[in-house]
Amino acid sequence: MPADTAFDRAVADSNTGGLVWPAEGWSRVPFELFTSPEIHEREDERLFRGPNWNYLGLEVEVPEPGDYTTCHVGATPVVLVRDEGGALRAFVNRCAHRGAEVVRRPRGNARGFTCIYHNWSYDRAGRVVGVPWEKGRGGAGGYDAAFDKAQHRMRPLRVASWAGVVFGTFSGEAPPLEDYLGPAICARLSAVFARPVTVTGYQRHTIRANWKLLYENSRDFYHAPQLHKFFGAFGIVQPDQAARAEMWHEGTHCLLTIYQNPGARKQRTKLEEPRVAAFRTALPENIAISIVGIFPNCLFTLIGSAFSIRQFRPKAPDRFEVVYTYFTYADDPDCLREHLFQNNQFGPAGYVAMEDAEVVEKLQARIALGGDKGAGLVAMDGTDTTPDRIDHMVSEANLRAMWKGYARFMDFAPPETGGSGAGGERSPQ
Amino acid sequence: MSSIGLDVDRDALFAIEQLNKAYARCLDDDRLEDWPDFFLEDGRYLIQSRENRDAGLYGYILYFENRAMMRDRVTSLRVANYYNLHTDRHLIANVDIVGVTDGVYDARANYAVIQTDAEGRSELFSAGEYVDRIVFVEGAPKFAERLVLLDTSNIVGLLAVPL
Repeated sequence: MPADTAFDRAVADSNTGGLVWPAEGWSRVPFELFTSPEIHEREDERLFRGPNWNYLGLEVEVPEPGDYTTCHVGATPVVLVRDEGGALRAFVNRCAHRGAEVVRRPRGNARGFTCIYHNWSYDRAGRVVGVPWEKGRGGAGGYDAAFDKAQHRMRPLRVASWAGVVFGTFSGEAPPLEDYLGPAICARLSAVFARPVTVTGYQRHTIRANWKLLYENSRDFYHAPQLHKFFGAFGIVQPDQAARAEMWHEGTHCLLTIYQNPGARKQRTKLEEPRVAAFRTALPENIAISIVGIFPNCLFTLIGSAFSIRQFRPKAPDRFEVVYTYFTYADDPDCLREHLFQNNQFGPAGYVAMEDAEVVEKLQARIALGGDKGAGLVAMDGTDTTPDRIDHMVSEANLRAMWKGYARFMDFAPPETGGSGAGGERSPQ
Repeated sequence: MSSIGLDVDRDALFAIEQLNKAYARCLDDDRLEDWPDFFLEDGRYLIQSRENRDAGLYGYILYFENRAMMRDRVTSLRVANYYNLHTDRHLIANVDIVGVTDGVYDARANYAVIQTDAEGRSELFSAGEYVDRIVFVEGAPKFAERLVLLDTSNIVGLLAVPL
């Protein structure tokens, strides 16, 4: 919004965290979104700690009472644990006494947890059950009578799961998980997880860029054949395919689906070892590829027999970690074998993935150069954001939809023109 | 068996040390096309984090079970993939034979790879261990398997060129 007076500017700043979206609308993505420490802080508060559900893990990772796994919700370290009664619990991994880390291993099984600093101990729900010298020692000191350890605990999250996928939220205002995910994503997760799955490993990946650049990249049809030359170089002929992207949750979730045409000709390739490419899909409903973006912190990549979930952990405006959880179907040994070959395509060393890390890191390095208030252009296939579904790959409408929803959840004022700007010349930079 | 003590197979240890030197030089000189020749035709090249290994999980970052897959990797890096412009410097130490069974030598070595970017900035990119199975073919040592066991399980940026 143009700010004509100091007063207008002050109002704009208080409403938007200082961000003024370009008047051209959602077809412009301000670079400031990827560099500003204030926006980074605001994302942690309004997105990750706000009324959204964040991916925590899979139920199969914590099958028995006491099984736990650690993760992050935005910047906050969280523990997911199964309690004595079989219920899933999650709490912030921060001692209620002084704030020290309590759970020190990435995953395991425990009767309870003890902070190493002053040995405060906790049950599996994160409630304080033991405080050394609580009543003093040798008649001296101790906490006074008003101290009630039952009033102290590691901060809990609400937990809910759908089809064995576990989410948590800090907010009492998050809608029921099923409503949050929406019917199409619920149906996709139910179909994919209708068979038992097994976790085959984890991978940690640090990328020196803003997290949103990679989150957005996963739904960017435009870049895929341009940046990732692996399929073209090896003549990997994809079966005739129909692609579809559906946007949910104000455009911030994206359900991307590429169907396999059963009548398509067989793939051929110049790969010496063709098993690296997926020839058979283990996915239901004749789906060849599905990428499910569940805002704000996770992406499912489901291709052939190689499945993964990427959990996003922002660390700074220009740095984030992705933690991959690899999994495949447990009831089919062929899936595991295929998975080992196909997984060479994905992850930080992957044939069709390494470029994404390279390009977002170099993009970040360019836009970080001092004082540039420029913006990126996402005007392929028009400038509007109205469709909640696109049925072809020659479009950036799903990116515009994401930015519109993102701005709404961040409480940024919308651009004044409502997005009439055409995809013409960029302003000089 | 270990190279400590008197029963050390000095000739085999020397040959394996030479193999590691040649392997490092090949990668550091960017002669990637020669890299598969360090392996048997059905040799395996695996990269796995210690975190996955200790948990009994696969979690391979790269899983190549024959030399054809290694040749595909090199072709892809040359003609298809975009990755960070850099040079590598492999430092390999503590090369040791830890056992031998039916002519297959179990060997281990520590490695560190320092990467230098296009503007001359150097950083430690990866540290870990080579866990090898080595056989001699006409007197020359070849990898039946090289497992790169990553201490640096958190990859910064991307991993394109073999470790």
